[in-house]
Amino acid sequence: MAGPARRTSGAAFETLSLRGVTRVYGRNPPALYDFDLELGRGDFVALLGPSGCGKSTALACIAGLQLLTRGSIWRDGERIDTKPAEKRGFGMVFQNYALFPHLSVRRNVEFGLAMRKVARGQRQERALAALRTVQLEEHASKLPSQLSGGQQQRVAIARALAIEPEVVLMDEPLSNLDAALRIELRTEIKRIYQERGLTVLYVTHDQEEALALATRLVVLRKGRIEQIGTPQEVYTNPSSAYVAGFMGYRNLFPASYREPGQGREARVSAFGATVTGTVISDGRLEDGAGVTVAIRPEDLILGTGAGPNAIEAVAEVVEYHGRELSVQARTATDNVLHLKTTEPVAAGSLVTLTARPDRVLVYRSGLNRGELDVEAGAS
Amino acid sequence: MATTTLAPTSAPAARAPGFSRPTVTAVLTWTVAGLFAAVLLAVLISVIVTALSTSWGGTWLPSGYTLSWFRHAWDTPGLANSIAVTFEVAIADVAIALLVGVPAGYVVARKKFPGRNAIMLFALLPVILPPLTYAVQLAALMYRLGIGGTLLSVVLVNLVPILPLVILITVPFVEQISPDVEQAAKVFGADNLRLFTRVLVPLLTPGIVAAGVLSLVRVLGSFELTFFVSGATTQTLVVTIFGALSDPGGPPAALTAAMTVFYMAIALLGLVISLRFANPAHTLAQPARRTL
Repeated sequence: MAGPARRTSGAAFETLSLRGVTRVYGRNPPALYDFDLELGRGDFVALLGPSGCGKSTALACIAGLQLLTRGSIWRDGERIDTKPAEKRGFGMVFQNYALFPHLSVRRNVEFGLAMRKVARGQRQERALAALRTVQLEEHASKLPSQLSGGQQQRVAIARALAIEPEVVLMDEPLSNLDAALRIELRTEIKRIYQERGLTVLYVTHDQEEALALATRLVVLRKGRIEQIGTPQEVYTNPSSAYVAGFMGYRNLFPASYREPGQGREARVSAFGATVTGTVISDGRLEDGAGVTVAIRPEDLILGTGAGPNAIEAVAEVVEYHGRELSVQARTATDNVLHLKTTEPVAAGSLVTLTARPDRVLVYRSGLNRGELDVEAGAS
Repeated sequence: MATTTLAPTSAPAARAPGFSRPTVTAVLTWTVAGLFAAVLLAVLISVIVTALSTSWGGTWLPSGYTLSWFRHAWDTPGLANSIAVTFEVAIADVAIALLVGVPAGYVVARKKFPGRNAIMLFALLPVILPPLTYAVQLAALMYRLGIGGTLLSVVLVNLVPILPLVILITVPFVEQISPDVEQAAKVFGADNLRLFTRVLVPLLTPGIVAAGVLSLVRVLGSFELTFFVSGATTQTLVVTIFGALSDPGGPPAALTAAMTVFYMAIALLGLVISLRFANPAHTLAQPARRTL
């Protein structure tokens, strides 16, 4: 007697696809525009972007908590965006846990099974198994309010696991936790994902979280997809200055294009000097065209003066981070550079920095000033 | 702001509990509160003593005690009937007000629609207006509709102040429930009915109990609204007692006092029953024992 919401085993499920999903609120620009995404069984896809980029809207559309303005969502051959949320059968983990405050931990985890009319004994068994997975078995009879934030989120994860959903949707599940707990639970999520062979769609504004967890990353900007790729691809080769800024390329400078070099290399004017970098943007760049140069703090190497792209600067602020130093330096042209080094540096000393041309990324300009400052958490 | 201000308060030294000398304000507050409670109790006791006395006038204590006034009161034509009417009206009104008012309060709290504030203000009117200001017109309307004097009309006019009251009480209780909790219920398979019965009603129980108790008290004490619309057989107890009190050649004071004791007993009974069914203090402190 399997009703539509009772398709619990992942065996039948192959792909979840979003086609041209668009969501517009009132007269505002679309929160999500023409969003295409394929999610295969076993994928862990992270939607990444600052607040207001449309990532949570995408998740709410899939879960059935928001209506689509245009487009469609398909599970294998079946169209699901016309179904109400309770008939879609997803598991979901919310940022603020969203546990039922009047139900014990075990009943919270059983909730989805009870709605599916699973027999009592089996329901309890599965709930306890899910609680065992998140190591909270001994708290089964407590109320959510008697647990810490981290434990509550584990309960929420168990609640999503108990129904054995084809896809688990996670909406910033770690954002309400403090730093140490966040990393711990992040590892926990990855472990459960690997052990249970889950399919996960994960929304976050934290690039570290996305890189650590995802098998595929989708970077969103103002409701549109900016880049899709593996974490390695997106991290080492961001397709735009926006993605670069989001991926920890803290040094972003306006520069002007000079001349092409070997292969994709090019020379640009920046910090009052000529810098050799690698052009990422497609298409020809005109001489003198405005470009954006992106360099990761890790790719600026403290040198002795020799080497490519040597830049002189004064170390202004030196922070000790244990394994490394984080240095803020200022060039003679008043540009601020961020770098990481394991070499000793004294604040106020003159340093020479070099960067390999393949780690100096050159983008066609297109980054609005301050666009990357609004997100929380991304360093 | 360029200046940094230090926290202006340094924590005062904690006083040893229980042994500090009472302040003048404390003494004054307790005295006034004590007097207030004493007067209130004395009045209540005097009613009960009157109902139990053979005759009582000019002396500290009544000349004799008897239980016969209660039997007399019970035998007074109409009293037993008006007790029955009081129960019927109270149960019907509280039930209707909760069934309509709680969902309405939910909608007002959750949906942002134009005119929402106007509705809230409008709902406040019958609650804060003295019922006498609209009781006569309301009764006239009932008679015009041809249902004046019936039990139905008594139930209807008493709904006027308590339905908005239930809505007003429900709104803040709904606002306390995180919308995410409702979304979670939906994602995990609850349709609207089960969202309401399995999640919202249990979470709203303290609010529902509060609204129910306050409406019950209001209906039991509602004199003006019932007075103008009720007929001889559809009087509530409070109207019957007022009739007895205001009749110059009417029953002796001890008899009306006995009637009043019945009235008090009913009000207390109503309160005890509502608190018995759901204790607001316990609702959120314990996991629900009912099965999902």
